[in-house]
Amino acid sequence: MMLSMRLFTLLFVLLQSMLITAAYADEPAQVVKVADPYLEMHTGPNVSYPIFYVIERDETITVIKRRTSWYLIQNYRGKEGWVHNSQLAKTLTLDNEKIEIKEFTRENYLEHDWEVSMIGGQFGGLPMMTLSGSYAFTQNISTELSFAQIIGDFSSRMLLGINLTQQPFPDWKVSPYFSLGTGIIKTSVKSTLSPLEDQTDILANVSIGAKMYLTRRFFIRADLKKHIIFQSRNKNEEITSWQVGFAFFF
Amino acid sequence: MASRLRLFLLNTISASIFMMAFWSSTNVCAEEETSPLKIQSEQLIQPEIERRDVELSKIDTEDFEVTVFAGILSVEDFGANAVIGARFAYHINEDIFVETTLAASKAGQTSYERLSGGLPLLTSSQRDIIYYDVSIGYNLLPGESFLTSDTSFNSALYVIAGVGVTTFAGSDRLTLNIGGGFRVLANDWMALHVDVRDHIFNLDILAENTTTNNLEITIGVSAFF
Repeated sequence: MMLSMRLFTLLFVLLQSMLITAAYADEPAQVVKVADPYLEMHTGPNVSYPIFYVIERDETITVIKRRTSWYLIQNYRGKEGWVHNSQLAKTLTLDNEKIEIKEFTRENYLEHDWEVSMIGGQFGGLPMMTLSGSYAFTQNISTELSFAQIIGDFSSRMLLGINLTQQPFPDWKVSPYFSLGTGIIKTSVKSTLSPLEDQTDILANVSIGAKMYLTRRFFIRADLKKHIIFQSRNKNEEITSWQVGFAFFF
Repeated sequence: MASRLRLFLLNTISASIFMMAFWSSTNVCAEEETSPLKIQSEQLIQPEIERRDVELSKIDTEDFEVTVFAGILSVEDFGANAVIGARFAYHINEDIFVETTLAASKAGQTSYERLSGGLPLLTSSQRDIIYYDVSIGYNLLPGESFLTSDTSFNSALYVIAGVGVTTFAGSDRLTLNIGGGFRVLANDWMALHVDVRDHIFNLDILAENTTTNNLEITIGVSAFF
């Protein structure tokens, strides 16, 4: 119960901080002028939410915030509603110039520094899940810290690893990468009847993989890894793993 | 006398040269001054507007959502117990989101343990349940929910499925989760959630390895940021 109490306190603090940032993260509002014959305001950020108000041409509106491809806007009467990206793209600045809506594109993807990925697959035939974060020093070289869990019928394993990745052709649509890494692997035996004991070993791995940009902040990745576990009791264990998953970049 | 006249003429000449030089220089200056005057008169017709840059990229983008939730988790054979946790979601577009969950609960006693009187199957720490998962959700029915005829809230019904790990009875268990939820937006950045999930994992405590369906009902509060 102590654990859940601690978890609850942590969550409470986390939510508090989130609420504070949500309340104070106001960016300066932007004012634009409607250029289309009319602008449809939805009650929510989805095409399925009803249109409840229509703004005429030449009226000025204030853009408040964005969620996915929808913008929350306010007109001079104080009416607030959600407008789709494609309609807002047709509005003008007060100087009658076209506005530019910046989307996360492949260009941002090619320049990104940080990425977080969630991938899953098999580790020597057993289900494996990995959460990892990586930082790119250049477009070609990055380092990645990963945490993986491998679930077996008789034992489960946790793997904490660090690796160095080389991506020789970052601008290719499907861009391959090569990686060298090391880490520790902890094996916990499930059944008390098993003669084996819990143990922690050092491992090294080499991998080949590929990344492909999907949309906005997203890309998919897949990799094939060869692990060598330096075991203390007898000879080294060699295991192959494959994983596929999605990742997003910052 | 003649020298005085000569001095006068000399003075006149030098003065006139000086005057000419001065006049020509002021004339040039005057020409230079008229040109901005001309521009100014033109600007009166076309008034200069102060430039206002619109940078929509600076606008606060709220694609992330953090949720805290509490509810009941029923673990097959171990009764229904309180569960608390947190979710972190990223909305890819208006329909699809990815979400990761971390939650904790504690299993109760099986009916076998209660009836046999003694012989607990698990120790107290083995009854601690912690699970995490990564799921993909789809907003199935976005729309408005009317509380009264005048008061309505934006809402959405979503379906979600994913994979994760449940630590229970002393070991980690691969867990599939499938379910749905109802999200009501209280305002622009806050929402209330009601979720029903089925956590499917294998349990081998009672001799054989069986697949268990563990239902969970939770309510939560979320903030977009």
